[in-house]
Amino acid sequence: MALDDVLATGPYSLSHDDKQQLLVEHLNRLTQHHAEQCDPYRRILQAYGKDKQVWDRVEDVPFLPISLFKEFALKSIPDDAVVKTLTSSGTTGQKVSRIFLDKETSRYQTKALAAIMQDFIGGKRLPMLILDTQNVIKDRRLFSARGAGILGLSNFGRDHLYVLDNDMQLRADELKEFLATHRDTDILLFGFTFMVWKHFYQEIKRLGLDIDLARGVLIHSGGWKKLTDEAVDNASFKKALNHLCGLERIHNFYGMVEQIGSIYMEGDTGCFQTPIFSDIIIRDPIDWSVLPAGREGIIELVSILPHSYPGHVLLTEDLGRVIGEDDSPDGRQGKYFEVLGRVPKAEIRGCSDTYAEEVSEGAV
Amino acid sequence: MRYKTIAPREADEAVLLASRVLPPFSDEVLAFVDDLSNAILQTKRFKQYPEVMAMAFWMRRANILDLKKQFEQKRGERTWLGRGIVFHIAPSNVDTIFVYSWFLSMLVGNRNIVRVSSATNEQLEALVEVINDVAADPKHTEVRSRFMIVQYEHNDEITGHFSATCHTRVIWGGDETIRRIRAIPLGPAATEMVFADKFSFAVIGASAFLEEEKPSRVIERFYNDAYWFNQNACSSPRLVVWVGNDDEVARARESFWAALEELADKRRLNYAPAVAMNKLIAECAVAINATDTVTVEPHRTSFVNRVLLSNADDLNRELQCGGGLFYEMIIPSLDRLAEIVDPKDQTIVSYGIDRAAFDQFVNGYRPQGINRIVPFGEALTFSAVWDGYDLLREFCRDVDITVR
Repeated sequence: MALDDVLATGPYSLSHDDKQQLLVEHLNRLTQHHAEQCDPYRRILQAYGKDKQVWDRVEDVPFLPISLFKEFALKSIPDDAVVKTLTSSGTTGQKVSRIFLDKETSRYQTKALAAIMQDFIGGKRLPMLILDTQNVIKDRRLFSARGAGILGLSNFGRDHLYVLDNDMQLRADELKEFLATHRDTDILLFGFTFMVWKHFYQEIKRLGLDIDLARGVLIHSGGWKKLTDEAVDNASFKKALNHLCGLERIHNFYGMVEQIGSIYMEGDTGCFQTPIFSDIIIRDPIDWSVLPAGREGIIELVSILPHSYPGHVLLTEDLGRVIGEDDSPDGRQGKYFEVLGRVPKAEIRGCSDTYAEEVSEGAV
Repeated sequence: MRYKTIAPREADEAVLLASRVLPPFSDEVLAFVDDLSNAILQTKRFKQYPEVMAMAFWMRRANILDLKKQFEQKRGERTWLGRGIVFHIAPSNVDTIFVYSWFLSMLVGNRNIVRVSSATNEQLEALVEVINDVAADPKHTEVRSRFMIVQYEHNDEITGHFSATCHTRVIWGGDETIRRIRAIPLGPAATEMVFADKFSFAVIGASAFLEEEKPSRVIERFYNDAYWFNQNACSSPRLVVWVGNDDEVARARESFWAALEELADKRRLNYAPAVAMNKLIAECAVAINATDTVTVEPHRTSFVNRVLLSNADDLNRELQCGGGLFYEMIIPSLDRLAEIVDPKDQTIVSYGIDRAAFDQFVNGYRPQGINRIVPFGEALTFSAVWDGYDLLREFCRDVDITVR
């Protein structure tokens, strides 16, 4: 099936055998394409003795450690075909990933995201609250993960309101006015988990605002790392928002700038659901073998969207486990999984520098 | 200006400054070293830290008396006195170095201020605790008043204060640290020793290994060389150079690595998933930067990773993540080592090559690098001669007395 046809197919419509067959066919095509077009990628395959091969199973296709995108400019297109460069978020001084997109890959990503969103919120554009400041999307040449996420999701809404001002303060009056205007329709809310909690939920609570979001659908992402101090997890997050403003439909999603578009939305299982254009494999760091469902290991993500950069098979730095496959109560096919945080950083004892301990470790 | 003094318990900088140096190898110092050695060897919790045990073994009386004898032989009829106050800046990667550095200086009578890494860990804490316990004994008053172990975040003001106070400054790398600290002035008459970033490797004679009757012993020694300190010490071997013809080397490599892999899997010393991942990144980075053929050997586990290089230009000494990542090179004879050695090279751990061959290489080629050539199992054995410095000698000044 050609990629455009895959993108036109229901994103959760294939069960194991069909999906694996589809993926491996595209992954072989992409591996060959990147080997031909991306010199560093070809060198890696050659060093591992894995060039010029066709793979039978998804798990056999060689993976790249995701942080290579921080060290090297990996792209499979000529410089003048780059239409966007995405960067991962990172603190000052920290290296960030650079992902080069051409028109084609960008289009695939948009379509994939649209298919996923449509499955969760329907095909109609909803009035949309963006739980962030407009500042993050100002520089259009160099998108941060946050800016790219917001712009990507903005396509699914209309009458957008950025609910935070430039000083990260809640624009309470505008918010109330927005809700009054759109009181008879579903509304879409999007934000980063931490921002939603810190600058939206806590502010509404602190100010004692009466906000009714019973007709809202909240999509959020970004992880719980910054919220661990406050002991907020997915369940308490949902409960708190429901309590405060009647928000019932809340979907976390997992994804990364290195594979934008093919995101993993939280389905009725409370787990992240894999769509047909991407998949998850859990590996044992002891020998990189594939772990069965239920076992915790390092998350490898495959996606058949990356054409402009060799990011189709990536070993992430996240821990997770597959919970089930093809048996979600909401009828969505595919594996679903949990993310269990980052691989703990190795104690810095290498590089023999007396001051190595002072190298800052920023949160991503 | 705030720094934390972690030993001795009631440290007093004023007393340290007012004290005089002790004579070299004084009874007071010998007794302290001996007591500390015994205290460590008798403390159960240190059994889990082989490098601390090795250090306590190095500190035992017989070895110290040996050092004394060598020192006296070298000194002859000269008069050698400790330089005064030595300020040691210890590295963060090897916790025990600060003790070696401090003790060698203390043995010849100096007063010592030791800055240890501000990132504490259990091993360091345990070590400091036992040092404090031993130093608290009233019979060690003379030693107690002559040392301070301090901890502080990088701070030019504090480093500047100790640098202005000391007579000798010792900086245990790496290069960046040395650059930063060198910008901080010493007193006009002070001396300095620096230990820059180093790279170490193994040289193995393939035919000797194939004929070895007890290969498991050889492997065990190499394992300790490489995996203690998680391959992060300057003297940990990171490259293995095979010497021999293609056939011998192929057979030796196969059995050597299979045995090492088995042992490493059994021990799993310092294993961490993040290190396993870093090794994959390093493998890919070598492949990307290569100018010639590189081969990442298939790994059975994450404990041993190997990258075979065909060109010494592709050996990136900066690219090191520890945890059992080995570069390999093959040469037909030892003289070809000339194509590999670099000024950064420090230790060669060797198996199956005799001394005459190394003598010939070192004296014939006269490499800029290489400070030690030691047998397997001794990579991390601390020596009083380190990176080309005879430390006991460097910690002394010579008082030239010519009157009759």
